[in-house]
Amino acid sequence: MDESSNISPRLTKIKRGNPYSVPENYFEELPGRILEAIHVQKETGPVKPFIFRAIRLQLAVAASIIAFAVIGYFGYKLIHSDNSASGLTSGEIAEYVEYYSSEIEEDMFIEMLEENKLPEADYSDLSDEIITYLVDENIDYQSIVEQL
Amino acid sequence: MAKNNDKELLSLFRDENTRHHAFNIIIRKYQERLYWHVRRIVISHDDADDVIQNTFIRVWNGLEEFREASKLYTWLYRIATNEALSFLKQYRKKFIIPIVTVENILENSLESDSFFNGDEIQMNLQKAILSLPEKQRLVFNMKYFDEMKYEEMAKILNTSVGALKASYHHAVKKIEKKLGEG
Repeated sequence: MDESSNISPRLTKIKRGNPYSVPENYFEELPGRILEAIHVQKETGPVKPFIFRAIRLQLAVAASIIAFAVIGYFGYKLIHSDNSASGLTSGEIAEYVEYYSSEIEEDMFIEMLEENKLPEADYSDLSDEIITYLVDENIDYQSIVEQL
Repeated sequence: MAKNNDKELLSLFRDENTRHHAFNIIIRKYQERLYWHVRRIVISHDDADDVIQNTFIRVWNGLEEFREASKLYTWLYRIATNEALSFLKQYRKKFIIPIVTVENILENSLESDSFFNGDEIQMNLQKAILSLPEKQRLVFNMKYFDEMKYEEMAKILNTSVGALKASYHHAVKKIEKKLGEG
C-alpha cells in the first residue's frame, strides 16, 4: 500500500476489506459439487459450455459458408451445362460432321428422317412459299438434294 | 488431517487409488483464494461459482501432466484467471456493436448483487476498478487485494515486472481520479 499512498490518498483511506460475501456453507459444499461435476464429466465426456458455445457459433458460420459455396457451384454447373455443346468451335463441328457423314448412307439418312417425321401439320402455305421462292430464284431442286 | 505440501498432494493425485482424496484436499486448500480472485473479475457470485467449478474441472483434467515448472498455486491461479477472462469474452461476442459494454454489465451486476455487503465508498471503489481496462484491473486486484508480489504476478500473467509496476501505477492514478469525481 506504501506504493500507492503517494499517488492515491483517497484510496489509502478506504478499508481494504472484502465487500463481497457468499451463501452460507458455500465453501463447505463446493468441493463436493466439483467432484460431482467431475464424476458427471467422466460419465458423459468433457463438457466445456463456454468453449462449446464458441465453437458451435464458428461451426455454424463455417457450415453456412460451405452451403453457399455448394449451392453456388451447382448453380454454376446448371447454368453452364446446357451450353456445353455451344462450347464447340465451328471448325470442330465441321470436322465432326465430315467424319461421321461418310458413315451415314443416304438410305439410312432418309429412313432416319422418315422415323423422325414431324407431326402432321399444315405446311401447305409454307410449301407454296418455298416453291414460289425456288421458282423465282430459278433454283434447281435436284441440286439442293445433291447438296444435302 | 495432516497438512500436505504440494509435492505430496501431486504424488497422491498421480496414484489412481488416492486421486480423489488428493484432489479434495487441493480444492479445500485453494478454493477460497481462487474464488475471490475470480469473483473480483466477474463480480456476480453465480458467475464466479460457474467459473470456479470450470477452473477445478480443468485442473483435474490437466494436473497429471503438470510439470511443476511453477508452483502449484501459480498454475492454479493462471487457470482461474484464464477461465474468468474467457467467461467475460462471451459477453463481448454477444454484442457485435458495443452499445452495452462488458463493464456496463458488470456494473449492473455489482449494483444488483445481493452478496455485496460494502458501503457506498466501497461500491464507488469497485465501480472505479471496473472502469479500468481488463488487464489493468487484473493487475490492480492482484496487487491491492491479494497483495501478490510482482514476480509472482509476472509468472501468472506472462508479463514483465516492469510492465506490471507501470500498469499498477496507472491503475491507481485512474482510480484516484474516478474517486475524486465521486
